[in-house]
Amino acid sequence: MNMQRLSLILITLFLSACAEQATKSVELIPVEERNALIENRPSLTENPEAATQQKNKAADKQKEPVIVALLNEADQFSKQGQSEKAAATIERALRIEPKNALLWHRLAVVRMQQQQWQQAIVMARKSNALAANNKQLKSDNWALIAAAYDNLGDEKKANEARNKQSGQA
Amino acid sequence: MVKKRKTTPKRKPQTKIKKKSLLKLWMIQLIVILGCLLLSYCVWLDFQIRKEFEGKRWSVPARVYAQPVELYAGREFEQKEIIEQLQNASYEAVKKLTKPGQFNSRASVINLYTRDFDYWDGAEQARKLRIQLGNGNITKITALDNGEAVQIVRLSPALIGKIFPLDDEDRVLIAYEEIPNALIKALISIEDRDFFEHVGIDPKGILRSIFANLLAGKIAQGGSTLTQQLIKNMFLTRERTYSRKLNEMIMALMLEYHYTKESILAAYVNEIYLGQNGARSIHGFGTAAEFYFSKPLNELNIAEISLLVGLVKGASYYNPRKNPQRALDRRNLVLQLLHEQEFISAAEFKRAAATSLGVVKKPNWSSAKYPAYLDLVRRHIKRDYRIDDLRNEGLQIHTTLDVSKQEAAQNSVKFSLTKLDKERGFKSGELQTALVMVEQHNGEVLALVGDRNKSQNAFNRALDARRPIGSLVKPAIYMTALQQSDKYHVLSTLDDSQLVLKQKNGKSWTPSNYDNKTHGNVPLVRSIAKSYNISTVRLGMALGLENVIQTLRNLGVTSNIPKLPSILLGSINLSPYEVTQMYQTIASGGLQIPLKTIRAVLDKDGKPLRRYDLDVREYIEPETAFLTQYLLTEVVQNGTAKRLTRELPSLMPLAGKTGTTNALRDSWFAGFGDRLLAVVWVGRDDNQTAKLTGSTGAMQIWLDVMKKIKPEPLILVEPEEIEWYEFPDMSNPAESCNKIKAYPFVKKYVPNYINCF
Repeated sequence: MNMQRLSLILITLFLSACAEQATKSVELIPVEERNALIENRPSLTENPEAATQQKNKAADKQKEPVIVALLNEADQFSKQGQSEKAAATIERALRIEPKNALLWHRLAVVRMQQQQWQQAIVMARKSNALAANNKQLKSDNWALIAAAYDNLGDEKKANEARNKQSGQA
Repeated sequence: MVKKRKTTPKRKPQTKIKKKSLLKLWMIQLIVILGCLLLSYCVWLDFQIRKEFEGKRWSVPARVYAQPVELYAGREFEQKEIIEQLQNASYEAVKKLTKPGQFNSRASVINLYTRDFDYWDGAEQARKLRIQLGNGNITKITALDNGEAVQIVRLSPALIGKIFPLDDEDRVLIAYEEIPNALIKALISIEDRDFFEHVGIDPKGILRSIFANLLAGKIAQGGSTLTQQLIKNMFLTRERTYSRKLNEMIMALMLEYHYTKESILAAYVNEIYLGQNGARSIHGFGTAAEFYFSKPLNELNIAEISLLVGLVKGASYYNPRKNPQRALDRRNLVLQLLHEQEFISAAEFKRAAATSLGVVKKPNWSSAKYPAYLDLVRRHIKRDYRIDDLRNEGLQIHTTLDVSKQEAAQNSVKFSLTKLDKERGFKSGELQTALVMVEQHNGEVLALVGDRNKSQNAFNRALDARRPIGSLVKPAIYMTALQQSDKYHVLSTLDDSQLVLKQKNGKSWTPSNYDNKTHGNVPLVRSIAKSYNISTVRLGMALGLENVIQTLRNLGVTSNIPKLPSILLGSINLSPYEVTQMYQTIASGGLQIPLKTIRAVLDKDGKPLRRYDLDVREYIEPETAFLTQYLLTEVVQNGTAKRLTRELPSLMPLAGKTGTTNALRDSWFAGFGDRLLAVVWVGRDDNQTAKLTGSTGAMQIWLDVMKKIKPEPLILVEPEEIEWYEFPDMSNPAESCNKIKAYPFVKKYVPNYINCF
């Protein structure tokens, strides 16, 4: 038993000798470089994701007109006071681009109009998680979240959101 | 009344008269009360009968549609895939487009004449379109009449079934016009000769039956009209009492008063009880035709129709599978009657009576191509829609089913299980399976398989088989840890040395690893990737069972979870559907969206009744969800699901988790790409060993499906608070310290150094 424990300690010591510093210092990496890092990330030397991402970007560019068209349609519905149809149209766009931060924001806006505060908050947060470095959009989302919490009577959370909003500006 | 009042004071001295008139009064009152009671009873009966009849509405069932295929520039779509979709939606290939529902195609171009179709958010107009393709994408859509660009177009969706939303059973429905003439003739000659003349009850028929019974010296004829039989079936009471018989008569009169002979007969043909398939009743001739002959009703010959008509009298007594001789005699009796009434000639009678029963051995039927999915649609309808909405005739139900993915799933299941049965030395059909496929960002169920055989839906394993989930529980434990970002990160050191847990009952529990080894110190990411049990249990105990259970709840698990250490290794019984909900939350980046099958319900004129919103629930912190997703990509890159990287190299990265339970009883795999999540279970109904691990069983099916579907690789979008740093590659012990690898961290809590082991 003692021998075991001793060897365990020895192994631990040996392993900690192997301990290395993080190879890059812990400083903020600029966004562009960070993206480059992600592309290299999951190990394989062929780096299949870079090609995939490139292809995705090209496809996203192609999809822009249809997203714009659907958002315009949603706007029309909103203006006519048909918020549920506006939501349906944005959801249709989301089926095309489920990770489009703007679409999630727009859906949150519709939910605000419908006074579905909780839904609006969650959707705005989803938008934020996808917004990457789009500061304006994030700021808009925090403003929306603050307003929703105001309506829910949750002053603390509303203020938190307002702080985050000013943090984005 | 006024008279009475006047007379009252005068009555005092005249006691004799008083007694008499009092008696009379009582009598009148009694009669009035009885009359009122009887009347209200009749009104109540009338209400009942109409409610029941309206609720079922045999004439026009609800039409259930798959999700429409959307075409727009930029959509990844091969030409042959589009053509396949057009065929699914019953488009016809033609040279020249002349009417809606047609298409033609040449190199990189498809010309199309779309159909009018109503959706919840508006109508799609029929128009002629040109779709241009290139590099596996739709590049442009133009309107053929004016040459203008069209941004997006919906193809009219595939019709996947007709159902009665309030009805539990899966039926093959027959409209009155579709009822074979021979069936009407046979029913009327054997069951109710004066059907088209009587008013619901048939005194002549009753007399005739009494006479016939007297002659025969036993009960040979029932004397119930088809209308009465229908009522008997609708209200499901089988007791034979006079009061029931009386009710039946009153209700028959009422039914005949409200509805036409045709709709009553159509109801009868669709409602009458004709057999039993396990727990399921076989109602209606359409269903029975499939059940006994594996044929649609309109393809049955006169002998086959006569057999079914013969079953009306006693589906169990004359069951052709159990009592073939009785069934044969009965069938020939029906044929003889048809001959006596000159519906068939002597020669036809002779020929038909000489044929064998022609009943298929194994019932093999479903009214719909996708019974398991339709089963879920039914349950969702009942859960979410007002009963009154559902009483409408001819509803249109727009669902989320993706026909090509459903087909791919069904074919893969069949293919893989046949292979696995052989490999593991099982007799064919021993292994069973369930599969649920969803779009993780909106919770829409795209495909559902509840049985290896697509045409059977007696037991929908995807929804009703509750089995221990094994290591599929682990992401919840690691997620609980990563929530405490000041304490845990993906390279945290976990302890996988031997562990003995003292339990409340005094016994001790020693969890072991699948390879029966211990691994000492392991980095957190490797512990989940290789699915180590001991380190996971130790982690879970340190986190606290209640916290792990809370995470499972946040992920959408609603079933009972016992507060026992064994849940850390997945001794929680969940259906594949509930597991899918749990993984949906992870795969969407922490946003729990209740799984759904229905987008909208429209009435028969295309007027929207109700839409089913994108409904978001719990929101797990995006950093935590992101890191958990990352861990699951490592399961595929370097862990128990590594085989995927070899078999699907072009689809990487993907994320997933394998699960295996004691004695290899359950084999699980949950995996997702950028927008597609599928959960597969493989096991046996008798809960014996399936001799399969998560990766050799369920993952094999998953792999086969994904080879066909080619899901988009998972491109993780990191939230603001996440950043990547390079550290020694900790994927495998041997490689530690040599290579460099980028790992994600919550930026406030990046470790300065890491021990590599």
